[in-house]
Amino acid sequence: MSCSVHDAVRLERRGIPTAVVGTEPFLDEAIEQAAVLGMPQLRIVTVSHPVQLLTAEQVQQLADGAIAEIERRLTSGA
Amino acid sequence: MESAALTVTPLAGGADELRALARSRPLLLVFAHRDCPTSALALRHLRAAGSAEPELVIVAEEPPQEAARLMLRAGLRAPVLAQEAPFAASSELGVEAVPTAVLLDPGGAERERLVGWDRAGYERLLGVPLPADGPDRKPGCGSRAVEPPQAGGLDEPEDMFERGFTDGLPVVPPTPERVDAMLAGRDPDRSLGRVPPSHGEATLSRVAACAVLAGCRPEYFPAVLAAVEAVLEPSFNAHGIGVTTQPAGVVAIVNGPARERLGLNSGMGALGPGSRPNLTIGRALRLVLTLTGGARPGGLDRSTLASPLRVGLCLAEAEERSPWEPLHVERGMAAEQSAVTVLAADAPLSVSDHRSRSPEELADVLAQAAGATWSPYWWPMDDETLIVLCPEHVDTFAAGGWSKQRVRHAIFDAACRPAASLRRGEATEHVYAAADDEPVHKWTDPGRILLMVAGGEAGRYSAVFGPCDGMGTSAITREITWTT
Amino acid sequence: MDYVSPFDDRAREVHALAGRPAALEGRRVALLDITKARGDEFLDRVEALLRSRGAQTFRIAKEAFSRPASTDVIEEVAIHGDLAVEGLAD
Repeated sequence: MSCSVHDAVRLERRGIPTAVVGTEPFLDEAIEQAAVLGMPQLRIVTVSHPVQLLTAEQVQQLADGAIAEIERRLTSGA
Repeated sequence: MESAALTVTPLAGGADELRALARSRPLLLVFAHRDCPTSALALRHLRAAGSAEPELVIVAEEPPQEAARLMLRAGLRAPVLAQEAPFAASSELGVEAVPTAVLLDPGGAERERLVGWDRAGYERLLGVPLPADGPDRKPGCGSRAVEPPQAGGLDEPEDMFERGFTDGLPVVPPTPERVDAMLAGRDPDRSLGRVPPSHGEATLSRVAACAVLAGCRPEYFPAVLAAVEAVLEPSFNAHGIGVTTQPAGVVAIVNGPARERLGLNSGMGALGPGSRPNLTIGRALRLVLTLTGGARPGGLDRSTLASPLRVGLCLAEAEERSPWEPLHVERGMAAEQSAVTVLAADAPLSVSDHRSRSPEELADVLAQAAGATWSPYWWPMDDETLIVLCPEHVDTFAAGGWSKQRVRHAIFDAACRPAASLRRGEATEHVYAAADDEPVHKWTDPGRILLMVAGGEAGRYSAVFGPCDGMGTSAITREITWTT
Repeated sequence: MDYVSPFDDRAREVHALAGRPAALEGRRVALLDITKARGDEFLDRVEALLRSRGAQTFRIAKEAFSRPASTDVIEEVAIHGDLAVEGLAD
């Protein structure tokens, strides 16, 4: 998660709105990492944990559940 | 689920602005600042307040960035207002000490206040139980609105904990005098680079502070510096090691004349307690990563179980006890140079072997033990394993006339199984794709096995430090230099 | 009492987020795979859903999940994309 937040901060500074998606237990880490990198307003999108042992269909459902939030993170009007 | 961000609002006005916040519901304002250990204690305990009524609002006597840090260190999520000099709100409300809690009723009139930490008082005002650890009451410190600032209630060892200058064990307070002695004339502002994951600058001043905290003597500092330089090499990947869910500790191995000069232990008990340089040099390195680099357990450090290795480990190689060239010479240095080699690894696995009479048998025993590290079926690994051979085991290999390279290859060859036998649980794609009878080794290459010698004269116990998986980390060797 | 702090507590510059477009329609979205297991399947579905919302998409993978992305990967996303989705971090 930490490395992804680093990537997102760099991309945002390059003008690329970025939605980082991670599992819920890493939310605190993401908030702290964004704050120490000077972008405390960066939000990440969380999905339920764990994912490693899900079926293919369950992974798709995770994405279905997250897409609205991803869209909200990337756009202003949605 | 949308994530919440930590929002810090600058407080532009004075007490009237605070009273206006208590429009329709009671507010508990808690005044605090970063230099007050009692404030830190109060904020930590208030994590348990939840969404109780009255609403909790922290009024930090800090600029917004520092206010955010205050909240992050306490792990407290609550609205926070950042108040800067001349601290009008604190002055107007007569806040002379922190922490001070002021209860405002709807409409903004003050009903009650608490000065200093008072667990029963806070529990009564918030209507919720708070954690029972620590003192029931503790005096606070002067608020920033008061001149001159007062440092009341100072208990220095506890202060170090409240400031977060620690790994959970007591530390030596890094006074300017102690840090100057550690620096021994070196430029305090010279930087070794930025330490991931938070990119804190590793100035010599900060590294010296960590060395003091850890309990190092000034003569250990050259070894600490070399170790920090080594972990900041990009190919070590301190970032990944710092934030991973893996146990991932750092081992520092010292070779050359530095061992005797610093009094490092390479003999009996080398991996355990007892030797000040062993324990404090390893700890100092870890504190740089945790405190300056921000890889704080429970924060950016997400290691699921971690291991004692994450507190720090440094040992010396028993070069005189080894028939082979020492680790640093194998890695390209001259024998008379002093060096530290850092390696990311799992906690050591002890391997007892009191029965093998031949080098082949012993190599096989070590191979089977090493094969189970990280995860028993996750073969092959393109990651480094450190094997520490005790003197009696070294003697078995030497009696057979085996070179270090022969030992390495024998261990590699012995850790070999057909692919079909590895297809259980955590197994690699390579194993699933291979033919059933294809031989698969624990490592991709014998060069992944690092060998060194340490330990007491009696007892046949060697140790295997298993690998970190997929971190792209390499052992790094740096010279220890004595010039300032 | 005065101590030398081991923390780097200098005030850090705060950076603004990038400006957002009103909608996804017609935007190029980079799907940046951090290469942890199951992430590709997750991004496959996200990609399909983004396309159904009118976005164009392309895939790019980090060299290693255990490090921040290389400059090359960041440049690739910044040059060819308007938006990015990075995942799946677990």
